Amino acid sequence: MTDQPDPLRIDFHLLDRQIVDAAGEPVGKVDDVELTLNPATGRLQVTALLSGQQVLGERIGGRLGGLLAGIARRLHPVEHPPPLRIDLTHVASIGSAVTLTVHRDALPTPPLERWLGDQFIGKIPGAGHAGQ
Amino acid sequence: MVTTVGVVVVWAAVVVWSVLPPTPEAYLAEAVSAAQDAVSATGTVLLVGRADLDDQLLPPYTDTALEDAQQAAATAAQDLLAAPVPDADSLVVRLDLVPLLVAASDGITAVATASSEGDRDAVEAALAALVPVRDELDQFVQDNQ
Amino acid sequence: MKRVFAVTLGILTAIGGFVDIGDLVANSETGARFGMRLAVVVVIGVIGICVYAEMCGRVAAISGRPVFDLVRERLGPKAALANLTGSYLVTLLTLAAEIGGVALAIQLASSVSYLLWVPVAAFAIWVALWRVKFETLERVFGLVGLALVVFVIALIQLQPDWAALAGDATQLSPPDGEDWGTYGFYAVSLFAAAMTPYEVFFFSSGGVEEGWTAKDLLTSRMNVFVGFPLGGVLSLAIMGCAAVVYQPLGVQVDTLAQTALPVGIALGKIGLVVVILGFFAATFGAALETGLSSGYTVAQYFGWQWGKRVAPRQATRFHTVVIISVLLGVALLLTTIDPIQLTEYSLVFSAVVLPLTYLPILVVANDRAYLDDKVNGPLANTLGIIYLVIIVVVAVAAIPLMILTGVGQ
Repeated sequence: MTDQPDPLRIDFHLLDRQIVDAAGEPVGKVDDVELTLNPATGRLQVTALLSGQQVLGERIGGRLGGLLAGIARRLHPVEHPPPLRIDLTHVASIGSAVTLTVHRDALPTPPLERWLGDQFIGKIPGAGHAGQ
Repeated sequence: MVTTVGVVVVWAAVVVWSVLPPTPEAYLAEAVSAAQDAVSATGTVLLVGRADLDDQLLPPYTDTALEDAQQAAATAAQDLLAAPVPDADSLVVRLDLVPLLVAASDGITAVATASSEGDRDAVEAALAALVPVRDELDQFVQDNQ
Repeated sequence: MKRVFAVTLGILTAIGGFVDIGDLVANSETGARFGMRLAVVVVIGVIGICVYAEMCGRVAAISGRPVFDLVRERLGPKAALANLTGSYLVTLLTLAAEIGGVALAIQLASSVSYLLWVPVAAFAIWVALWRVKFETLERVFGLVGLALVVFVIALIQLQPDWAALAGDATQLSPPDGEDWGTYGFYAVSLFAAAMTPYEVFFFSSGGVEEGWTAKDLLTSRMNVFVGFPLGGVLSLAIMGCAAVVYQPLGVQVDTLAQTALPVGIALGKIGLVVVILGFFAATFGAALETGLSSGYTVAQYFGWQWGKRVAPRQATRFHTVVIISVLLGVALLLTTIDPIQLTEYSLVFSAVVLPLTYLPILVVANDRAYLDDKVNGPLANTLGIIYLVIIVVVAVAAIPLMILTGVGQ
């Protein structure tokens, strides 16, 4: 990536930040990060950003987080839904928001968004235009 | 555990408090409140009726305003009639106030009926009849506040 | 020239859009019972909303993101979730109250029971949110809301004793027959009506919907510093009309019909038509704003696509939240709860939630990462902190006062 704070602090610079695509459109929040053990250095490093209500609920923890994760699971059309995973290589820069190198269309649509679009919102006339 | 016990205690307290018979002070306060509602309703009707006779208002508005007042007066009377009477003094209050509340309700209904029939003379008469009712209710509120 | 026109339009829209059902109810009830003795609370509330709306507008213009989008990263997900829950529930209550207000306004024009109009009004509100461009919605309902200027005209026409009214406004104690408990309760309600949470959610997200940039800072500030105070003048006129007509007769106001009566008495049929139109525009506009705000608060917490700038197909979760919120509002109204009472409750709960709403704004407006050198200056921060203290006092006092006075009996 071209531009990131140094040193990059996960809790400060990454978590709960808005993820925007190359055009500035919102994609989601950084609800959690994926850490992998680098065998060479023996240290954990961030390999991907995770976005989804369930991982958020699990990260918040406690009763509130459990409630959030539980609701997210129930609202999901798929069993054990995976979060949206954005590999760190797709991240262009980390500023007040996390900017990606790709457009939203290149990323998988969150299942709830797609399901609501197909079954509900998409069926109402006029869903395709942004007003007037 | 502690939270559950706390919630049960609070809930029990609320139930007991709401089931206890009212004190004479509480009854008087409720009577004054009912009288105040009736003063507001009759006062509004006098203003609406006068403005309607002066051709200042539109029929749908007048109908709505008079209906609101009817409902308010009726509720005030109903609430006082339903309230349990704790002692002899409270009974005196009830016997004094209930006829006034009923008169207010009847008077407002008379205005509303006359207005909906477009009978200007009847409206004038009904408004005139309502004035002393309003004054007596206002006096009750002032005396007991 | 075109800039002057745009700025003027913004100001007029802000004035017309300032008053909603909460202001209509709180100001007329207070005027009837307390005369002008609580007018100072309206002034305090208007200054407060100006201070904070300016911050929200600045954040939207400079950072391109609404304040509540930034709350989660500034305060953490747990605190932001608490903020979201409180804000959403209060906005939902307010939305129900506004839909009720629309239905009541139509009843005044038709004499058909408001309950029958509730689903019709809700459907119309949703269609407007679905199809009509954001700017058009704002302009139309803001400008038609200017009809409420008729209260100022009516007050003048009623020829009150201005000296007495002014003298009343300086008396900071309850009149005979009222106690400090009800005085405090109505002060809380008036303050909450002036600083209702959805106003700031809407102002900050609205700025982003309209694509504000640093060039629009002037527009944003003019809307706030000229538009809102003039909107506050409308509130005071509503209070004044109620004070002049009802207080001498000891009549207490608790219906929308009573709120309109002084205008009918002063200006006749034309005045009545204008004021009912004003009620309709004010409540319909506010229903649109609260409907959108219910979606904004949820979508901005989770980072979803939001707003009317994109097609609904691109923001299905946002639009679903809006639809569900409108339906919940309708369901609440169809329990036949009195819409005026519902408004009173929404004001009390708004008061309780105020700190949750306003503290994050102060935090974000001081953050250089979003605002560069346009962060709060010492004046903004001083006022911001003073108001935060007032807000906390109001929030703590709200529920006890409500219980103590039986919702203002």
